[in-house]
Amino acid sequence: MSSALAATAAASAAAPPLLNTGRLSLRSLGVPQLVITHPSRSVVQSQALRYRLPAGARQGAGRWYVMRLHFLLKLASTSGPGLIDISGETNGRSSDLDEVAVSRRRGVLQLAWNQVGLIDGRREGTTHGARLELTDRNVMVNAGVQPGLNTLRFQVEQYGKARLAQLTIFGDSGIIASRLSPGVLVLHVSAHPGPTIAVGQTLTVTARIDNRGQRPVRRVSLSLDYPATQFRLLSGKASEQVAEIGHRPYLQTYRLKAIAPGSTRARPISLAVDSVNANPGATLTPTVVARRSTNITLWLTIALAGFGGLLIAVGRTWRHQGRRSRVV
Amino acid sequence: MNIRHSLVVLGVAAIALGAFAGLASVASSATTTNLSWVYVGSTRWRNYDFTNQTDVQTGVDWPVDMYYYNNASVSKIKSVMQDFLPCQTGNVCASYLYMHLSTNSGSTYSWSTSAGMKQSLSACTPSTDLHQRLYAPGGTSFYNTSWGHYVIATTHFDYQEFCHGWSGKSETAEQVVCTDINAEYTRNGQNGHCWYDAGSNLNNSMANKNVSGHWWMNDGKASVVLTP
Repeated sequence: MSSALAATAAASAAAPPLLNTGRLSLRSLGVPQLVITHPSRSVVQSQALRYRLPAGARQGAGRWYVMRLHFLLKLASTSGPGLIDISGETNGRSSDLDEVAVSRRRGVLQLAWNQVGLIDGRREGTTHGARLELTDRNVMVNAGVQPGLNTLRFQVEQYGKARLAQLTIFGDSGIIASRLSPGVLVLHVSAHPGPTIAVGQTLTVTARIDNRGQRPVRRVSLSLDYPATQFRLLSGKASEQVAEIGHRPYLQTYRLKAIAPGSTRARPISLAVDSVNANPGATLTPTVVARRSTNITLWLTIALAGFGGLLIAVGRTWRHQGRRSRVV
Repeated sequence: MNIRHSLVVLGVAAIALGAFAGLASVASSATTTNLSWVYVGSTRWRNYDFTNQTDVQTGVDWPVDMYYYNNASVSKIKSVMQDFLPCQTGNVCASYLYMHLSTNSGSTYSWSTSAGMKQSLSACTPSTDLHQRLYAPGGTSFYNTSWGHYVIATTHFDYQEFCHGWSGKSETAEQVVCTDINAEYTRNGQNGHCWYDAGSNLNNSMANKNVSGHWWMNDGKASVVLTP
């Protein structure tokens, strides 16, 4: 019985390697891969793999430490519904967590998985069958990074009737010291015309999302909420998914036609950005006044009527003058 | 006669079932003057959950009183607590409540929904039913580099909930969940731990008072669970 993850090759007994830059994989720690078969307990941890970080090492001080977890799981043919969690931690603090919800439909195993992190966002998927291979990478938690000696460990948990046949953690899993900071999103919103618009006018709202970090932000959702009793959306999607926001800003323009007067303070126009990295938002509270075009039409009619009257008067005068001259 | 009698019995049973199902899906709102936002990194959530997706102080249910951090997810905590709080699906166990997740400007980006996990299948059990609801975006987990993967929770008891009983006493319920989860981690030989009242003050303290069956009791200090 292997109730503990067993290294297929023994880790070196020499001083733990130092990770200054680049990558420290299981392979470079002397462990080609970690394999566990038929765990009998609900929670099983691997052996602790030791490595060192330089003096002053901490998350964000010129380096961003990233954990990579690459695994293949095979479920037992007898597996029923339940949950399998695979996670990676350093110094007792977890950074990568992959969840697999196991169910059976018409006898076929269905695996619904998800992972949440600062590099790839919120990922999820579903596969059919007993095998699932996933790669996860995440910016590590602050408490998982310390100068000097650190320990890396992997854990598998099985709950309910989910039963694992074999879990393989591949040798390319490990820790990466990166210069790239995680993405951070900032939202800028502009609108025109001004805070007061008339019924019938179109309010143009422009959203610009900038990424202030060095890594892209993935799986971002952008949503617009507006009082439907006062506005009608002419163009722009009220809800959209953006695969990635990198160095170039993401722009979206919404055109909203004002259809009824009133204040929007009770229910403003709001923009919301949702990502694991950041959730910036903005609200606009324009006031919609009664149709200005009615007054313009009225004044235009009066002006045209006045102008027409003037032309008629001038014409009559000219005709009168003409007649008079002929008389003369 | 027998057939008629059977039909009457069936009809009464159907009406009773329908009424129960209706009751089980309804949660009555309460009012607080302490409704505020809690900021954790880039995430922002309310310090109470709501009976529907309307963010008003007259529509709250229970104060947030626990958070599970480090390696937590909604599914995982429910799985870990399966022995103590086994009733985790369906209307019989719990009606759905909502947590408002917001941007930094206050605009809504998501409402997280939870029926949670409950002690008993029976709504009219003669003893109190422990009940906890867990919230996170997408029903999975929050993540930031301070707390890792974390979820938030509201906790209360239900006492003969749909039989003129009461719900509430969050503070005592929080303490019991803390004890239960420590017992579970000890039994599994894991290094997880719940520290009762050791977390942030979430500014949602409520004096011990039964308001028409909604029994407030919360000191505002959250309990913290290191999830292994």
